[in-house]
Amino acid sequence: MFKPTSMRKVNIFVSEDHVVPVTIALARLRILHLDEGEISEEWETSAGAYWSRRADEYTSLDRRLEDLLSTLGAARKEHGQPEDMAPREDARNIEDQVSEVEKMVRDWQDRKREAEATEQRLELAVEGTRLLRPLDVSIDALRELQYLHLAIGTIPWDGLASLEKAIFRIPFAVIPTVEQKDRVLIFAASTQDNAPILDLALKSAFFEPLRLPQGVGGSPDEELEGLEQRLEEARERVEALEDERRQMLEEQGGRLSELWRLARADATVTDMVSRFGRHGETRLIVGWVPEHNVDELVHAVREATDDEADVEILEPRKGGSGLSVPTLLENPKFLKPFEKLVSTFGFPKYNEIDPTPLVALTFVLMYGMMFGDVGHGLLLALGGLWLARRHGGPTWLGPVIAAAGLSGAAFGVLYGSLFGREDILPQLWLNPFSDIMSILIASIVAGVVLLCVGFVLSLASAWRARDWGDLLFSDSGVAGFALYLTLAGGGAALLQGVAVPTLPLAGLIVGTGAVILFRAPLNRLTAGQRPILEKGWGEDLVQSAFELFETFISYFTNSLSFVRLGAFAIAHVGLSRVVLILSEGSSGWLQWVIILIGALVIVGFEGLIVGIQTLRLEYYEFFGKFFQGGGHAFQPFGLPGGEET
Amino acid sequence: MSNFLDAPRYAAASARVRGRIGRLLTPAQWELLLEAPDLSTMVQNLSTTAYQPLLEQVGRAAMAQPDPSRIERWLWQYLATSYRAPLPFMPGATKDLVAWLWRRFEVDNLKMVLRGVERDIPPGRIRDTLVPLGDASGLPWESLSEASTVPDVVSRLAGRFYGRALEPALDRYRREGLLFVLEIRLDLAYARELLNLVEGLRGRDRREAERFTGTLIDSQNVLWAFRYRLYHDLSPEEILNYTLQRGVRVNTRILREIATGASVMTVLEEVWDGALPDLERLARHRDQQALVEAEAMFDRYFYRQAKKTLKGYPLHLGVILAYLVLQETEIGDLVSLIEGKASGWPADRIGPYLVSLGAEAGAPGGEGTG
Repeated sequence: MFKPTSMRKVNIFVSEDHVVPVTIALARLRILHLDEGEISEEWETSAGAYWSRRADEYTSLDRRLEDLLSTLGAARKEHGQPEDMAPREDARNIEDQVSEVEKMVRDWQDRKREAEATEQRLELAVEGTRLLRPLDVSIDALRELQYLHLAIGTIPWDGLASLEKAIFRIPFAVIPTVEQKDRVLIFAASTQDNAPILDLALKSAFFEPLRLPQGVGGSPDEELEGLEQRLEEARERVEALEDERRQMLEEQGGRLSELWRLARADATVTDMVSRFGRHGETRLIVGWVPEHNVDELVHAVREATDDEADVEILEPRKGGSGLSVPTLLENPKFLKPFEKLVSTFGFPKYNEIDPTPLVALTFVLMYGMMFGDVGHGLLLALGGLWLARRHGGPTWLGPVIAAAGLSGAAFGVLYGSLFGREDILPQLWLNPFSDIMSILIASIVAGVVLLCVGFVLSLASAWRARDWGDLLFSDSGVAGFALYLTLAGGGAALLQGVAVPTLPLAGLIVGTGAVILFRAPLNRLTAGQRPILEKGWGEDLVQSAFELFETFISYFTNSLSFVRLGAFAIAHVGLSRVVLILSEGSSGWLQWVIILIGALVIVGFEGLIVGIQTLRLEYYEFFGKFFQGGGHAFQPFGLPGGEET
Repeated sequence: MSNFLDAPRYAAASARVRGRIGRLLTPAQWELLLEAPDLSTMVQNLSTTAYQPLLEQVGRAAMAQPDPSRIERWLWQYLATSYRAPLPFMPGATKDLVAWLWRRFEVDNLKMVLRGVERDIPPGRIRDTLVPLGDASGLPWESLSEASTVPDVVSRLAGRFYGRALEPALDRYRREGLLFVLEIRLDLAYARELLNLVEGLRGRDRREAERFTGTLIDSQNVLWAFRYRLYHDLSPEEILNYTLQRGVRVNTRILREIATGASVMTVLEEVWDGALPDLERLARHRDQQALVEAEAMFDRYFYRQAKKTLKGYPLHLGVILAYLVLQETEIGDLVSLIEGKASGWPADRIGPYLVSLGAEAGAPGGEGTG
């Protein structure tokens, strides 16, 4: 807690012969965060053309297998890794098997497409023939009309309106009849001498003439029975092809799933290998590993190479920015949801303090203080629990809301408030609405305490980063903390009417203020940098004076900002009372409906606003003292289908 | 009141776009690029502007002997990314509109895939011609480029918007073997949906969308109709079926006039009536040349509209669309410049092909944008 897991940089030197077994071993372990940026310039980093091609090959096989599995309707099982893999040789074996199944599946797809097209054509033929039944003429006679040109077929339904507007030079008739999927069956007619114009218009509207089976030419009544019989046969063919798919799935599904897992794993390994450094026949793998996993990694590498690899273990540079080292946060499981609250602001850098435990505590407490009501708090907690159990959506949000709700309920016990009623539970601490000054003062005291914690964490961060100038002279360092304590203590004493010696107090304020005012030259002095004044007295002093003024203002506003803890607690009681007053105007079930709707509005609307205000206090007032973020998370590479560490 | 309501809706997107407008090339930078003695120097100069990260991706070695097609592809990718930049901050239906404008890159890529597959070009080479669209595109580009036939490409798009657009033309493609029928279905389906999105907006959003996107659809529609008549000799019925029979200013009557022989100038005058300032220039040309001039005229029109919009109230949809027009014009001009330099043309020969220069000068720039 508070401190990210200690990391070690590893440089693994292996021969080209051993690079694959080492990569597979590391991928199975899933403890190495690769860092190509740390490979020095003398190593080629884009020299893995052979492996890049292999990676493309496996990615393509992976995709083809996904297509096959999806065509056959197989459920893909993401979990599980292949037992044996040989990325140099697997491709050919997978390719042969995939091609064999693909041929089979493509053949089946073609037959299915053809069968479905026949089924659709016959459906239209049946419908079209039914429409012609009232006419006492044969189909052959309709094909050979003397004066009229008649076209029967389908067009896309979205082109029907356009077609009717497009034919504007000739008299014509377009009669839409039945719709099938995205097309509509039409009868289009014009005089014979205008036939070329009509045909061109139909063609450009993507008209497909109705193709009747060979020999169909008699009267519609005579032909209908035969067409319906053929349609039935076509449907049976489609059904038989579905059975064939199920059969193929049963026979090939297992094999394809295995091949898919193998192709995915090979794609991952070959992609990694293509990114390692190369110098002749030597490959360099650079990455970060948690300190407690170093032995495990070394053992795995030695085992995979028969002890022929060199593994260099390095400590991260002291006093650096910590930007290149990935951060693995080490918090108990129940604090994990709060990591997300922190990373929404910024992911902790490696050498930064992880504020998650403090955020968990302060967020919950501040939320509870503003949302103190047993009933509303429990409702919110129930909502959070429901959200946590729901599949899909952010998994971290539910637990955070539940914890905030429980805290609200706990403060509700202290305030003696249940759904706004203050006559049911005993009041253990105070009533925000009646003791307004007390709750506001308590809020500011809580804020001052939290800001002091922020100062202490800032000092610790500067100490860890060996940033002595920041530690001693900055507005969040020793000087700033001393100034803040003096101002806060002085202010408190003044309000309480306690007499304090004015001279020492003024001396402290002036002294610490002067240190902050001259922090730039002091920083340079302690760091041994010359000249001490970078821009000259005038410019440096004016800039520092404004910054000092801003520091004074910010100490004041930061502390006062916490008044909102009390203000929202008062607003919560006020809002609850409004709901109760509204409900008192009614009786029976209507009264309960108003109370219920009021409670839901308070929990939903005010709950959200209080959440935003709490986050604001965390991010702006608290984090502003010591936390910057800007780090990146530790992401070990591993085979797909494996468990995340 | 409308402005008051628009302000919070567009504040973030507008701020994002303003930042990107500041990165557009300045006249001095254009001058430097145009006056560069060769392509290599021009690319070196370009690398000192906002396009530096882009060219770094192309590689320092490539900058010494630049491959025009590679750089152009990166520039189009930059443009595609620009279309997506304001999206996360845009509200509701206007976000759908800009996202759909971005889909034009998918449409263009799909056409490249169809052409590549039909000509039996290896999948890797097809992919090299596509504008990289990253994760934003949900289409399986790798799979599409590996299709064995054009119908196979369409079958791999089954269930998607593009699949539904192409399927009705597949039987005709099989019979006639003309990619044209598929491409026209794709263009029409895309433009129809774009128009639906414009028509789905209300108030100022609708007005701004009509001013830019609506005019774009109308101009493309009219230009298509003329091209079908002048270059492909299609019948009036075919012309009407291959165009959108509605728009902001364009309707079936206008298209029928074009299809039956109206001149370019007559139609543009009737539809845009004074909105296109250099319209009288068309009178000097016969129809085919007038059509080329009209295309450049629309480019300049959009550019000037965009510049004008940016001088006004800053928080509305028009500002975002105006930025996209300026960015697209800039990329188009850079591509023209690269092509010109690669062909060894002097600055004074390339200049007239640059839309932004022509529009800024109020002179006949952008003559060769076709």
